[in-house]
Amino acid sequence: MRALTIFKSTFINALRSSIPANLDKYLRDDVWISESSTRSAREMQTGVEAAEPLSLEPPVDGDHKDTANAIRLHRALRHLTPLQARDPRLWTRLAHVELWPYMRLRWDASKHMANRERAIRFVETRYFVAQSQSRALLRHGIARLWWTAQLSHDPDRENPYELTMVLLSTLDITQQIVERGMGRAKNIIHGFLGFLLANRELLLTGGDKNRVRIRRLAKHLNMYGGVCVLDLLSQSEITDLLSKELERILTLESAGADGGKSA
Amino acid sequence: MRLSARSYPHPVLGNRDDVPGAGFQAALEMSADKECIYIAADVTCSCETLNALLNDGRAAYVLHVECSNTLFRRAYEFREPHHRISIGADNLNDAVEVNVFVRATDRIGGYRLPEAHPDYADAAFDIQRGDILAVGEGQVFYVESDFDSLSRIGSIMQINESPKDGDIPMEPDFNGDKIVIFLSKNDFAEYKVLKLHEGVRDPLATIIVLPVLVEAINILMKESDGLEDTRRWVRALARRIESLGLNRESPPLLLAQKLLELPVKRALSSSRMLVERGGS
Repeated sequence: MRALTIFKSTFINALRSSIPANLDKYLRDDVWISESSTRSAREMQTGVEAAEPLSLEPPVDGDHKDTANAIRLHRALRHLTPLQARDPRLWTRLAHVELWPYMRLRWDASKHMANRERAIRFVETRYFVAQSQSRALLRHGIARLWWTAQLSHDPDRENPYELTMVLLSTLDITQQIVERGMGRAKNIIHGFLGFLLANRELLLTGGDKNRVRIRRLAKHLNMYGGVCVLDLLSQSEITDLLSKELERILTLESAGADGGKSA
Repeated sequence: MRLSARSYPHPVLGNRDDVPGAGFQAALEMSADKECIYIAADVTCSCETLNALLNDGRAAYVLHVECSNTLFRRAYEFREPHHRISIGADNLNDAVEVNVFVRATDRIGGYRLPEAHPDYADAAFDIQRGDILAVGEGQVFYVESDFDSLSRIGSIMQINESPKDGDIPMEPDFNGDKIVIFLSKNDFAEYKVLKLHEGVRDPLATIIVLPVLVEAINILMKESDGLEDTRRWVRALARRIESLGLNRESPPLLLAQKLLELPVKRALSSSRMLVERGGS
């Protein structure tokens, strides 16, 4: 396997500050980055190797292929340490070079070109790791795939990526659980996703009603986390908390007290 | 977990004036070597009711560590008031929030705290397993895992090409983790070539880095939170000044020259050598 190449920080700074000037290049299908600088000014080799070739399935007709690609990427880079996996030099490079064809299809800047400022922000968020905070990693087009797989990977399950499928089944679940701090604790995220999976008929069959239920469950857990150290509860205790809340939600729905309002 | 003062459904020691008759403090210390980050907690609790629960094993201390930068979040339970944990250095970077609690390890019916605020009167509470019973003052530590520890001042600065066109003055950006100095496209092209020649490296540093460092020191002194600042370059610079035993109250130009180890002298000396070698 080949060692991973990353961008140099100085190059990323220059590339990022040149987004307005380069905006049209983000509409091109070919990899254009070599036009921007010499190789030595742009990139450096690391001692880290990918376990499998780095390639992602192209999204087609509304199917983003997020789950399949998260698993693929995580398998290829499963040995990354958290410190390596938060490094903007890696993700910016992958988004602009090795996985550019995927990025063009999945995070197509042309959809935002009607509003130039919005298009610049879009490129900055999806092609660069904009800040040193976790939210930026979870919004980056490639980093988000690795991190969602990493957080939901459960080696105790027959299919260790079973919960990754749940997590990426809708963007809403990702936002409700991963972007809240509690989603970084393995017992909490695994408990929450496991509960959704166990109640798939009530929670994962799509539609507004299910979405509202998931939001309410996440909100309840988050609020409960304000008075209780959720991190030290077992997954079955997390499940019990969610079961009681779901029961309450369903009772309210059947009593019509909900009035169809969303959370 | 960012803890703000809040209203709990039961009195919580250390939260606002819930329990004015007792105190809960956790002295935290962080240290590191190449392999691990170590966090030591030294907890003092003067609440007799809670101490009894801790002794009976119905409550326990919790050290909660969270690093947004690496998405690390873990809680460590312990029984003795002095405790030290180690975390692999690959797991933490930049700001690390550490909080200490006491949590119930069992359900506690009829929970009453005689030291609680009089407003609670004789109220008794049903405490669930995991509920927080005491909170200490949280602390944020900064781990500089992948950052040069300022062996040279240049490591807090980067010189980049400006995206703007034309002959423009150099422009520093002090808002990121490093100070980025933008040079006009022509200047940057010249800089890239010249910096490869040893004879002009020092004069270059003097004309580019010295004035920016002076401005950076001004920012450090007047606008920043020093070691608590969120920008890495500010923390690194503050530490460097401290480690060299320099007086922070000295004029910024003087400090900058000491940090850069007499750049004017070095620039003049290398320029003279260049002239003598016929390089002019």
